[in-house]
Amino acid sequence: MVHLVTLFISNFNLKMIKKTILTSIVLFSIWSIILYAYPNLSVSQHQWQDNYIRAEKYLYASDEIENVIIGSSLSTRIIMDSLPTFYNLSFGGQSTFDGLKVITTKANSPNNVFIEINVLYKEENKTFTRSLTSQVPYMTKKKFLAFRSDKQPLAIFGDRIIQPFASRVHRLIRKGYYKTFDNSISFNKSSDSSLFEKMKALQVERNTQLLSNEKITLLIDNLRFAVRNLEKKNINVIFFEMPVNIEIHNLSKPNQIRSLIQKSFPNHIFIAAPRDLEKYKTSDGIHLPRDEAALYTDYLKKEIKTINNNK
Amino acid sequence: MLFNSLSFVILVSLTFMIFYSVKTVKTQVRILILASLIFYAWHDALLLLLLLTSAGVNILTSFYVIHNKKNKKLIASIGVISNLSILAFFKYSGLIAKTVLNDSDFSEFLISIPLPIGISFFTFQGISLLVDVYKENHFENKKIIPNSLATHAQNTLFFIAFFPQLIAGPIVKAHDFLPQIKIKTLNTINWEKCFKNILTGYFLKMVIADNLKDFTFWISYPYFESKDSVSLVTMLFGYSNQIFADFAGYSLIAIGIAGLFGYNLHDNFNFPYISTSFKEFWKRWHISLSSFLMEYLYIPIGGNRKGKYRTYINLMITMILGGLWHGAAWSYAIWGLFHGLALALERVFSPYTRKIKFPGIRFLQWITIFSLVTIAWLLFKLPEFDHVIKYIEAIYNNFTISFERPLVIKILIYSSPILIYHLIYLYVNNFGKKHLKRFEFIFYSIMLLLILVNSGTPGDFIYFQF
Repeated sequence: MVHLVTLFISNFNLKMIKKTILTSIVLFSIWSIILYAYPNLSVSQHQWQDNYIRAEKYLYASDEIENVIIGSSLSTRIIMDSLPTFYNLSFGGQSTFDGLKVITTKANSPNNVFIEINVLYKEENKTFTRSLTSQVPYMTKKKFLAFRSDKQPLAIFGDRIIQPFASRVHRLIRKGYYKTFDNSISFNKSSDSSLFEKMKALQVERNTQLLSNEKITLLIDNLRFAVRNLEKKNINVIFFEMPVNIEIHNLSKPNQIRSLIQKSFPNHIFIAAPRDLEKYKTSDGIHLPRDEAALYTDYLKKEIKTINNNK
Repeated sequence: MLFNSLSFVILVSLTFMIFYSVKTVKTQVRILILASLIFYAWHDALLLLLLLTSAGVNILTSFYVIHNKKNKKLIASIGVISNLSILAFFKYSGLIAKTVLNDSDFSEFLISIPLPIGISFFTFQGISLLVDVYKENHFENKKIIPNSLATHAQNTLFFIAFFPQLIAGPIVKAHDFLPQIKIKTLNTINWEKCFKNILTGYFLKMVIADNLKDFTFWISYPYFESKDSVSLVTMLFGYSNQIFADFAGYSLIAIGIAGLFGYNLHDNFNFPYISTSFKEFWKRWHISLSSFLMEYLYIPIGGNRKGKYRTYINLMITMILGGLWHGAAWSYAIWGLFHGLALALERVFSPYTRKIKFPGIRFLQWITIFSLVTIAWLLFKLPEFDHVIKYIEAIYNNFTISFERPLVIKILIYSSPILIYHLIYLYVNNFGKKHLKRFEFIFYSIMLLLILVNSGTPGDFIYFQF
């Protein structure tokens, strides 16, 4: 082995490779210094990156967090400004199990965990959880800000330098356009209602298919295991259901999941979706637009207050 | 096992150390076979059975083609048909069932057959071995193919399963690879070339393709209908760059890693987006596939030797089959037909277009080819043909001056390295490498930095599905 290492080093005497690695270290150091000097530099480019950022902010937060919401993109719509003691660890396009995994990684546990049940059938995204909770990425991100998802140089460059410049240029073009053409010539995209119907139809199709027995067993076993782990750490577990369009709410899959949870966790509190579901039209059948999200957040707050009063 | 996973880095490092600590070619080959089998079996060990069966068929048929002078053609044909049958069964059963069979248990069974990863690549390599040993027009069998069945089996399994290129190419031809099987030592490695290939490959994949994929995600039905024309066009442009970065990135990593073990794989991409004709594009894009189709399909069915009309038909057949090679859906066949038609039309009109000379013609040609190639990628992203039509309709209908600026800017930012990459190539072609050579380490160090701090959310390689 020693011979091999010596042979390797004696053959590996390339100036270009060494110069590249050294320059990268210098560039990395400069970038790290900039980030320490301007800790507010932080950009999220899209939903998937946002998931990483939410998880990293939770994992590396020094403050004690009292309540955590975990769930899918449905719960990301909850208005967090009106729930100051809550942290929203819901991930768009992912499942409740990802949030559960992240919570168990952090040493400090919250008092209450609110688990959204709507998209429970999705399994844990191992690529996502491993890249957050495995020893190497966890420690490097903890020690070096530059490795965190909201500190990407190209994203920050785009957001802080290109974006303001582009918006000024865009404004000028728009002004010129409206001067030249009739103001009425603008958006001609397919009508919002037809798009809504198409997206809702897609959701209806997805929510009509029942989960297989195999899937149900796996899902409930995994959930029981996760809940037991949380309770061992004295964390209260509360289930809740996000409102969806009334046509989807009563389809076979949501009904199946709802009754499964009530049957498998009879001693746990379950905050059902609001009864006045007709108020929740949603933007695509399942996701709440801001005004409906505010309405639901009020409802959730009231329900939580009732639970606390009954304790 | 993904190239951008820790398990892959560990596998390559361990294999590298053991590989160079042994002194015979046989042991070196065995080490690489073992590493390749671990690599392939990582997610599903059952897949090994298929790989070994495919290799077994090629080992036996190629061995008998060499040693049985009488029925050479018959055995080679059996071998080629076996390879194509394996590919057809696993890849095209579902398509056949959906197209010609009614709803029945049998058609459901056919649709449910999973597509084993890399099957399109390793079956093509098997065909290449059989054709090469049958025709003997690249090497003399007795000089390259061992007399002992055991050694031939070992070399063939190694050729088919060599892990850097096993699951997404480049497709290696037997006559390029088999002559390279000899003892390898550390001092034969071209470190700088390997380093540049691997670094550029990871940069293209992790920084460009993985970031762009999250912006081009919205090219899916019906979501794209909510986007404005400028965003739709930009997303399409982004997808064109994403597919290039994803596949060229994978190929460069494969070439770099093969180089670390002393094996030279040919370039798979040669700056395809500077092409000013479809013919040029196919000489620069997925070179290993286009040269395979040229050598083993287009030329054997007649190429351009049987008159101009047969040439056009041969071009179409080659490109449609090349399209279907990518995926078992009619949209891939349409994609192939589109390229076949374009190549044929180019051939028809080239005597006239060659005469047109005015400033800017090259630029016009370039922009036309890039735009058409980019539009055709829609068939890769949207496998349902009517969704492709709806996307194009949406570009036409959804015009507004108030477009989604952040989306457009981000796609342009992550696409700009691809533009720079091609511009550097043009600069080097026109002015030579001399000026850039001194500063190239700066480009590579920026790429290394961005791999570390600006990688996108990890995603599969697009070509894995093929």
